[in-house]
Amino acid sequence: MNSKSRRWWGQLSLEGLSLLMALLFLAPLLWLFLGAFKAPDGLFGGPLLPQEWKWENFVEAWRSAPFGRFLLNSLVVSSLTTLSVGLTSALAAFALARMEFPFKPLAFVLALGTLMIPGDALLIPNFLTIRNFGWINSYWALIVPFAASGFGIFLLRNAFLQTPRELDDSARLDGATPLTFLFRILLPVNAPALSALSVLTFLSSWNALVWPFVATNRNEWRTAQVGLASFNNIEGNTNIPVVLAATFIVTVPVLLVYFLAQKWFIESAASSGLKG
Amino acid sequence: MAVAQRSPTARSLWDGQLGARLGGAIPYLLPALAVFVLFAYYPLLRVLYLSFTDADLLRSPRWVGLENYQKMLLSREFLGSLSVTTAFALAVTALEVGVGMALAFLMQAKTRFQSLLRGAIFAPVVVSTVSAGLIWQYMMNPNGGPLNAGLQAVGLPPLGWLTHPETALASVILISFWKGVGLPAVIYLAGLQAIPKELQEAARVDGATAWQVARRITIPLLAPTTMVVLFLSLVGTFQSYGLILVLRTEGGPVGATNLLGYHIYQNAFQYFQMGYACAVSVFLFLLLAGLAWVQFRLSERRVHYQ
Repeated sequence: MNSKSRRWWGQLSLEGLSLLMALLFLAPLLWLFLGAFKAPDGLFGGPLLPQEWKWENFVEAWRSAPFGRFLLNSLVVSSLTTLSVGLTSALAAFALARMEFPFKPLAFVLALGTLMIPGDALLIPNFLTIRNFGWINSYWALIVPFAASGFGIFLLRNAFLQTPRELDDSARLDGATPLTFLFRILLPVNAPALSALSVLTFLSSWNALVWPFVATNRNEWRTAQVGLASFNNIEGNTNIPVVLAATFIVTVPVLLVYFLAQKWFIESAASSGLKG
Repeated sequence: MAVAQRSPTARSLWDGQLGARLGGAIPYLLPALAVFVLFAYYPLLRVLYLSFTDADLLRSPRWVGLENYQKMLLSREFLGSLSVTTAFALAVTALEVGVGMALAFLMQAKTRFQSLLRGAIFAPVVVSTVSAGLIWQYMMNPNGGPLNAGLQAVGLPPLGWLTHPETALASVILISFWKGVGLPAVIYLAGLQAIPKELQEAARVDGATAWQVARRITIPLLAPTTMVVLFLSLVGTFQSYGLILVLRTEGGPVGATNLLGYHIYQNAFQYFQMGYACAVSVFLFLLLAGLAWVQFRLSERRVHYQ
């Protein structure tokens, strides 16, 4: 076999392997989409495609639990968490990158140290704290504990340190205050880092399960994830297609955004490797 | 990782006009530090204190010394949970490092499916734990779910998946792997893209095979990335248990999926044994801190000998 045909076979097997892997990873999602439209008796052992597309599954899921409210709660909580993290991280990172003050190393260590503390080990004391505050079943409980991020501070501080100080000089000559400089110049210049942080924060807030599960017990305050999990606890044994339809409702908005902005998501996630 | 250089004129531009220097920085730091103190450092001390008490949700806690720790170390359930968790963490981490790296090589290859492949591998990372759990609960349904249908189609016997003690943990590992491997894969991909092409090309010109280049050049150069992936993955898997909540295995059958996090959750919020659950939390924290220390020492040594 000459080297040209060997290269051709090599390329062909790469193409085949790539397609196969892509299909393997997408298969469970495909089964979700198809299963959500099936009749209960066509779910197991039936053909791959639904014999009859049962849109009723979605109507029933939407009627059996307040998914509208769940999704609204998730949207509010995730947006406000993302906004808070951006704000608190930008302020702290600005101080750490552009100011000199006593105890600066201590402040930096306190911020980075939070990356070493496993959130799940703090479940109990944090639950007791929000119970003391009377925050069970409220947005406060779902947002405030996550309103700052050591990773966010680390990421933005690094970005700010790499931004040339000539920008500061010219802003100061124009009479800018520190805050105007931070929000009008420094943050816009570092938009890629800020948007990576926002994507990661929004995603982890939207997908959070354990904390919102512990911090809420009424439908009114449940997020989409907790609502879906408890919906499965009630319906899961009897009507699997309706549970799949509910899963579809909760999953598809995120997947749509993801596939529209795939490159951005992947690049943001790769930057989390900087953590180590 | 690029570490930014502090400019030699480290005197700040923005502190002079702010009067007292600490006073000037405090308003910037306070919002973040207040959250950290209230929801990370104070609870860290409190979980330590509560682990020496008989706290439940009703009465005020009473000091019991080391009783909870003694109970923990003698508890068959805890020891079983620890071994299940270790098996789970090591298996998922090995898969994430090995397969994650292999997938990164594939994702870097120029094929017409490159974008599809990258999108597909990372898609499960975007899917929530709850959705992933529910999808796989259906896929793994022992009574004719798609996976068993597939097994039977190729002439293999059906499996009990999550319902059988021998396959339950492997099933949870499979789900975690599907959901998690996209992150290490893209971190590895970023690592691969940062390696200068000249090095690999020069070796190819000298007659090295693709496999030799990968083994002798690319994979060793990826070592810092491997450290990051290894650490992120171990720390993540040792404390993960969301799937167990979703799959409703209640840690079973026969303790097969009783991950430490779930053991803590169950004792705290179902049996209201807060003191005991705090002792297990402290154990988990020390375990993860130990991992962090090992990782720190390893990366320190590499810096010295490089």
